[in-house]
Amino acid sequence: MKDKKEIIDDKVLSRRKFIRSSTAGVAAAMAFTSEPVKAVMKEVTAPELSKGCFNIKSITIPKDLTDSINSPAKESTFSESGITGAEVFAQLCKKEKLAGLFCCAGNYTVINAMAAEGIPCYGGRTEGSMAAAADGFSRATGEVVAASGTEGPGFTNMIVSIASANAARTPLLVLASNMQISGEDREATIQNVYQQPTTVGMKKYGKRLITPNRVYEYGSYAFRHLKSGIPGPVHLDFPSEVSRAVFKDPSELTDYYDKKNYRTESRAYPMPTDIKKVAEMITKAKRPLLIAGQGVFQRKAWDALYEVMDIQDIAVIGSGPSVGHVPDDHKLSAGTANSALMSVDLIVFVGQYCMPSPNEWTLPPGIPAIRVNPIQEDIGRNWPIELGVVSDEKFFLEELANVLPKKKRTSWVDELSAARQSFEQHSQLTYKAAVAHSDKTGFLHPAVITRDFEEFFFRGDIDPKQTTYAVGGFTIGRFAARWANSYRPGQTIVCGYQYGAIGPEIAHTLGAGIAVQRGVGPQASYKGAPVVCITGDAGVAYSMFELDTANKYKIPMIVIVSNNDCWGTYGTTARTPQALQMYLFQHGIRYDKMAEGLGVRGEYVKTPKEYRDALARSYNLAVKEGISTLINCQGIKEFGSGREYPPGPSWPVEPGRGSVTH
Amino acid sequence: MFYSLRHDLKPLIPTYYLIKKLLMITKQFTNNLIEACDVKMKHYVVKRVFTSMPKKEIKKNNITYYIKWHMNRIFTLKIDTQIKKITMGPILPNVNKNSKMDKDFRKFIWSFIGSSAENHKRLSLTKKGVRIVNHNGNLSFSVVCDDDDNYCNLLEKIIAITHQVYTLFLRNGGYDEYLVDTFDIDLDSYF
Repeated sequence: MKDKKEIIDDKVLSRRKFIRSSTAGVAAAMAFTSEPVKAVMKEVTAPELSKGCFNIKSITIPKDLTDSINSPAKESTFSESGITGAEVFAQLCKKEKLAGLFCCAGNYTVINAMAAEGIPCYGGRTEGSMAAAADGFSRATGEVVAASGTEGPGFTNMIVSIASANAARTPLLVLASNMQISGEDREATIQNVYQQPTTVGMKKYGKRLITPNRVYEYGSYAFRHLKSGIPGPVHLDFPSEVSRAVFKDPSELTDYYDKKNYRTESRAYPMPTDIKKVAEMITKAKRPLLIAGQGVFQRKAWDALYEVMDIQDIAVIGSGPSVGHVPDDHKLSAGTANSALMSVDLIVFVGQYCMPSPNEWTLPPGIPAIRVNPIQEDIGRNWPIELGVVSDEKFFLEELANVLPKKKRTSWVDELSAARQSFEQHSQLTYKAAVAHSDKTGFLHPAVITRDFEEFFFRGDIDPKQTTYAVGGFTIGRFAARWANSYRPGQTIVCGYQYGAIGPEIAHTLGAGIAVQRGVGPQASYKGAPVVCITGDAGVAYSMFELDTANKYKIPMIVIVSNNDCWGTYGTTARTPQALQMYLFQHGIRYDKMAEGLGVRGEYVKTPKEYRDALARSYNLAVKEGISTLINCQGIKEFGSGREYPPGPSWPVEPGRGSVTH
Repeated sequence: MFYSLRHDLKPLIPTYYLIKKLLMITKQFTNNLIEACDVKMKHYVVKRVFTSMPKKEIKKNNITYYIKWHMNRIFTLKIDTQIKKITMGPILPNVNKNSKMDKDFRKFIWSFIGSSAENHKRLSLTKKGVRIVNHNGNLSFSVVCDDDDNYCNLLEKIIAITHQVYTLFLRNGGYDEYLVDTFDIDLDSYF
């Protein structure tokens, strides 16, 4: 495994060997070095390794941690001593194949029981960012995940992430312990809070468990909601009378039966008359557009989608909190064909859960619309329809593929291609101007950061489908929209989707990285690959500490921070200079040094060449050694101004690449 | 004398009736056009493009609709049935003449003119008949309709292009300061 040419400090070598031997993630990363990738990798030398990496010798991964990870699961059973309510719940989660629990210490009885049961559990630095990591995992895979925090402060720390998951329709099981029912309204000890009212409006279902012997029953309630209809957060809180109750026999529990008895996998099937009408409307249209929403990803319906697209040359745009289920290189992908959108004469929404209003989207006003949704009561909301179809997304697309007659739309395909080229030309002009600005100022323009990221991961020797990444931030996020390619389902995590929270990017990437390391769902083909995060210096403050978490679990991440010394919205102070100071940070803050303090590599770059070299080095080390890096790209705030440094950042056009609203 | 006048007027009677017929046809055409435009406007209201039915004003040969639309602004859609011209404005206020934004806007509108524009998007084959005006910082454009049967089709395109100014043109980059200064937008929620 070790390169003979490497000259490495003995202590560093023994630490690295120790980590390598104890975590499967690194082995997977090592196995990932394919021939094309080797072409971009340089020999790793001691000076590069010592560049910020492992220089702080006090940082080690404790043996206890790796021993704990390697401890075998201990499934709970009804026995003479009985099992607790927490263990009953953990059993249920295990049977439901809960993909992971992301938490901080707290809600101890429940999280310890879940870890003992063998559910993959990850402990991090703050409840909020770990809940965001759970969300990121789910956005990358479509799986049900859990997040946990202690009563009171741990729970309330998760609120932003719960709200963000709710906006993204993430099937997130929120678990938070509570004090004792017997102490209610007495402020007994500390941390009492009314949890359920706090999450009103940001969950699909919630329940404070108050009857111990109904713990299994309410667990089944939770999974019925998590695994059906439109996904969304489910919030359960456990008073200790419930989590610590002891049961010696299943008969003591209510509704203690298998999942095949407490819920169904059955989904709505489209009516034949509806399918026939949809086929007629699409065939009659000259330039139809299908919006493949989140439901297409959640229901893994992309293969059926591709079939439908090809039968009649139907343009498609993917939308949702993760994209890639409509590959950018497909001839019918319209994600960057902004100028062609005015030609659309029929729109078909499939699995678009977060519905826009007509004036928000760049489509001809008043065009006919079809909406396909698994639940009836949402059809017709926000956007008036000509036809509504209640159906599971996958079944709908499969049925449509069966009845749709073959038709060619050559001129429509040509128009889409011309529009994509026009988008690409505009992007190139933006990049060209950005390079000139970087050269002139000696600072790194965000367009250079994002375009060179695209060049490295999508247009070079690396398989363009390989890299799962998360993108967010106000200024950098807008520039990234120009170059945020995706070629397979779950490849791009849209961090700010609908809620617009700044800061979950590193946490989302951690969750997605864990999914990639484990090869879960659509990440299976690229199991073990490093993941990338694109964020700004405002956002990095929120979840940067999870780099410690990423390092201890050996999740190779490359975090690219666009550092412009401010909140990107500083432009709103143009008429109120007295307010500007609130938006500014110190210049030249070294997030790379902070990252080194957390045990990962840090690089500080100011020029395009330095940046490209840092990318190559970081990728090299991520693949070869499973090492994470934070690349701190120093820019200036004025790069966000179109007046001072034209053309300035563009806004994502909806529907289309980079859109975060719907 | 009376006999002489009647004798002099007699040859003019067919012309009189001809003119009267033409006026009736024109009036009928205008009424038909108003009806067609009203139907179009109602369609946009039903499809939630306009939040309310635009206020309408008819003066001589002009039909004017006052449309409350993007950024809660009032857009004036004017149809001059005599010279067959449709004008939409002011589309963008507060734009300095000969500024970069003014030039970009013109380039955007011109992209819908000529053979390079697809037939279904094209406003006109030639620039003749299309006018872009910056009056006191207010940008508007007008198109002369070359075919009486084409009014509604042209109207749809003009409305679609105006929509695209707000959903595509303004989002292309470089106009953040304009958006904040002119429309006082919340940058956080402009996404």
